[in-house]
Amino acid sequence: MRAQQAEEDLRQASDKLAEATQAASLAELSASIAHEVNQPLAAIVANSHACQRWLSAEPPNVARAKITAERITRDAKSAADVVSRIRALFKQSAEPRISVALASVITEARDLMADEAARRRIRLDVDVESDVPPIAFDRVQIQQVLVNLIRNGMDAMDSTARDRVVGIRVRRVEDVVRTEISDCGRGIEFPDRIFEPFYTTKEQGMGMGLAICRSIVESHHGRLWVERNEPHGATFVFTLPVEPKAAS
Amino acid sequence: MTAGDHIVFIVDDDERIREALSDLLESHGLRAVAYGSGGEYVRADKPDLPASLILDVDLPDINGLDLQKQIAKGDYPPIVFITGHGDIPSSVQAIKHGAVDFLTKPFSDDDLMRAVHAGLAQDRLARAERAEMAALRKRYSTLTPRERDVLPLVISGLLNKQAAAELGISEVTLQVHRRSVMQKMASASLADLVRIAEKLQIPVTHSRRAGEG
Repeated sequence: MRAQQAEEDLRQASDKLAEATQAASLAELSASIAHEVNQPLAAIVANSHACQRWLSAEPPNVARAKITAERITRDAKSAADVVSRIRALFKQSAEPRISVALASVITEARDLMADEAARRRIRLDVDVESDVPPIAFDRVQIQQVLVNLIRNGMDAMDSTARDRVVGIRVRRVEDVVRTEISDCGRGIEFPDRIFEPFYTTKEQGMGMGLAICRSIVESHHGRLWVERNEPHGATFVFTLPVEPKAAS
Repeated sequence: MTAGDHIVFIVDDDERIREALSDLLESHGLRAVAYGSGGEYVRADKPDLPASLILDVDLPDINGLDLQKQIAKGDYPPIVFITGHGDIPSSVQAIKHGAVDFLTKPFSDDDLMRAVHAGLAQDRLARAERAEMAALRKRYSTLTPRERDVLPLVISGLLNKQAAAELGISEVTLQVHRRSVMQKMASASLADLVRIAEKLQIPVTHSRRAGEG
């Protein structure tokens, strides 16, 4: 009985943890990536200057310069490691891609965002058509995409007084499942640029969220783009193939 | 600058940064001591020398800005903040509270060295100022109660006659006290005494102008 209870507690705790990780915005993720890369970079810059000074001293202090140069190599390698870790994170996922109903992941994403939406006085409108077939995808990654797009939609409506609604619509169009996330916010000024890494319109943003979203969707052989809404706002659309091609 | 007359403290949780900055400062002929956390810095037995503190904002145990507030209660070295992701509100707060500079990693050698040297210069001034204040307070403490009465009247610009009347003593006695005050405060002139009194925040209570005081 007690063992059962403990197991139940553990399960709940791990569910909570998973939720928290998924809800962490890609903006936060990007900030921590930047930090990870900046630390070794800062050390490299300082070490390079020190190395230069040891070498241009009279007489040159070659022994010290050598130690400093070795540190530069070491730190550059660790910066490169961070980059390849990030790449690995978004290229292949640890979790196998299993066929799931997209609807259940959408429901989860909506539940994750419900508190935040209520706090910001925004309604989340979900509409999933009934003929959407189960498709194979990485649950955690697609969750990230959904959460990020929903949060972007909410951000875009920060100064909107009218209908504060983020609409999430899923339907099948031929051989793809099409998911639309729409808002009535200030709209997108440069729809071509927003997917570029480090391009941001947010004061606090790193400009990595949409770039990562696109790379996730593309790794699923899908597409992600944005359309303008009339008269206000934007709709982000991503597609996932019903029959995914074999992973390359 | 010789190695014995200054010290630069570094507080950063990343060993690579501590190592690199210590090395860089050393290559510029500056002596540095590095700590891995705010607590370590606070607890450390630090040499009593003109100093500059290079402080990371994102420390594991305390936010650098909070540490700044915490140590602001005592005498502390001028702070050069370094951060992995600098935001405008933090930098404004840091500078408002007297930081020398707020540098975002990775920063240039020139910017860091300029800030560290500015910090050291600032601390030298602050220390000279504190030493002078301590000396002034010590001198002030040697004044008798009567001399402490005389001082504010003299620096207010009252004539001896007026000051004497104010205290109900003779002009000759006042002159004796006044000379003694000048001597004990080691002031060469009345202007000098006024400057010293201002530093000690002795209020000017009287005005020489008619109709006031």
